[in-house]
Amino acid sequence: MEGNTVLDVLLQPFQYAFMVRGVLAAILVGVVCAVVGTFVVLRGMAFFGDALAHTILPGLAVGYLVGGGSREALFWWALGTAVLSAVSIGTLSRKLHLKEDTAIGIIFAGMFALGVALISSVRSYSVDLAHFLFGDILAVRASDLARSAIFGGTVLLLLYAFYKEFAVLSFDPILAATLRLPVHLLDLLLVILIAVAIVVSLQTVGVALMVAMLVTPAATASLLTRRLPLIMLWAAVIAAFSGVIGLYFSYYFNIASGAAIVLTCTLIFILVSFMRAVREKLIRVSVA
Amino acid sequence: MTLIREIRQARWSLNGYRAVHDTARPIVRAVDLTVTYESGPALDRVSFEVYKGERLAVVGPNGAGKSTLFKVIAGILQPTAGRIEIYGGVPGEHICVAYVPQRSVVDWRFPVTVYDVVMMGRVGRIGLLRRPGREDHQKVQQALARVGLSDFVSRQIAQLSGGQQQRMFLARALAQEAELMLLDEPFTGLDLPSQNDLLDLLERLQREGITLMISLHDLNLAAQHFTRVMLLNRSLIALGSPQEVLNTQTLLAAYGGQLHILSEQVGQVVLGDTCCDGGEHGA
Repeated sequence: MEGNTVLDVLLQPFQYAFMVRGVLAAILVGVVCAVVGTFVVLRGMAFFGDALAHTILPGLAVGYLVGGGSREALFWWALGTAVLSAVSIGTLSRKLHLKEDTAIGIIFAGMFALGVALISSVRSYSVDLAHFLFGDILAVRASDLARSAIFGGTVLLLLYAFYKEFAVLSFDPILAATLRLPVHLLDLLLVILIAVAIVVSLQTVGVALMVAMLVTPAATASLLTRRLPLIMLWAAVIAAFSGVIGLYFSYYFNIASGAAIVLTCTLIFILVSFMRAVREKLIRVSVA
Repeated sequence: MTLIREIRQARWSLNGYRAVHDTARPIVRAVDLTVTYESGPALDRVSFEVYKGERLAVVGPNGAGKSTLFKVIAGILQPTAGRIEIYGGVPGEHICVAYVPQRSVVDWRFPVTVYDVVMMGRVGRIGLLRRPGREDHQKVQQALARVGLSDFVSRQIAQLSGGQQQRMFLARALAQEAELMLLDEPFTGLDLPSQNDLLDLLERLQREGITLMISLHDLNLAAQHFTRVMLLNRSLIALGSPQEVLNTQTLLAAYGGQLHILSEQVGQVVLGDTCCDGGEHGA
């Protein structure tokens, strides 16, 4: 009897097709963001990732207006805006000799404000602003899932193809330059991959919590192992697991899905860092 | 512009990458080399030649332009004026120049093992979209053996001593098949036994035909272990044997007020070069 009820609890949500699609989206997005996010963490680009997610908002507003609610239009407008913002940040800091975080701050706030202004000017948007900000994973359609799979898969494929170059670039940019790697091209590629990962994840967590998907699983994984490929693997596992657990929480406790997923990630991070602290203390005691 | 150049480079990288080595020419030749930053000049009309198989010490006060010089030679930084040649060619076309960073600027917590770091030296030769092959693994193992780190391959890099970390970067330069190695302050922060180990290793590399340019704070080390010394303070103050280069006049010209010179029976004792660890260095 007992076993049956547990099984019921686990399976019950999946009698709904939208929950199945939601879980698949959560796993997919979690894996893509976690793997890209490993480089975000290693290169100290967390603020950049957060900003990039927020700068998408005006693109979403325009895409919504122009596309009349078409998901396809939203996707391309969001992607275009993300790439434009990323390139503007780079150009601004280079041409005006601004520190990069200053350039990020300017573009981040400016674009986000533009997005809020656009959305607030059209009253019918008010419902959808929350969806853009926090995602709406249960509204994921089969076509959304397919698009996410294609673009997310491409991101993973490119990260695999240029893995050794990205590793060198992250560890020692001067070495990358002396090995005559196309440093600027690779930087641009990485930024575009981050942008695609963000846009693919929009429906799951929304722009406001996106940075958690990029940073938290990778940071947790780097507490578990000291090897880069294993960090990516662990980050992907943690993110996928958080996606599933988060959705259960969302289903049973009626919590917003994006927030539930991010909170699960955060909880795992806290748990792992606590375990690590305990282990280090134990090692110190046993040595002494 | 940069992107177009890099697309072209990326194509070389796919098709194998070899710059022509005119070995009749000096491995490094600088003609009126000038680099100006927004904050002011870093190098001012520096001219010199370095020949294959040399071991050259580069000394000078902080901000003398040693790191800038290395970056220009490595082809990472474009000179504002003047010329720099590697075997008569542009540095940016050569993959045989290795830059060994100061230990203090490296992210030692980066999740890589010693083996991973040395393999990074191969990345330029492996080429885009390819995986390391048998030859690459062999070269990495040979490089590790040559610097005596074969037993440390799977250590995370923070778990090495200072001397081992320095040798790991030399192994990476060997894996890169570098003919010219630029070492930025390799002795800083090493204890005496590690310094001696490193000196032995550098002598061995030199005997194998590798050209070494090594920036130093320790004038004593430069005087005792190098046959040719470059004294730099934005412009080239002197270049030659330690006896020629490290004398009162030239050192005063380079270090100015930072230097205190005492006359003693045995010769001169130079106290100073206050920029690094505050130690006393005789010359």
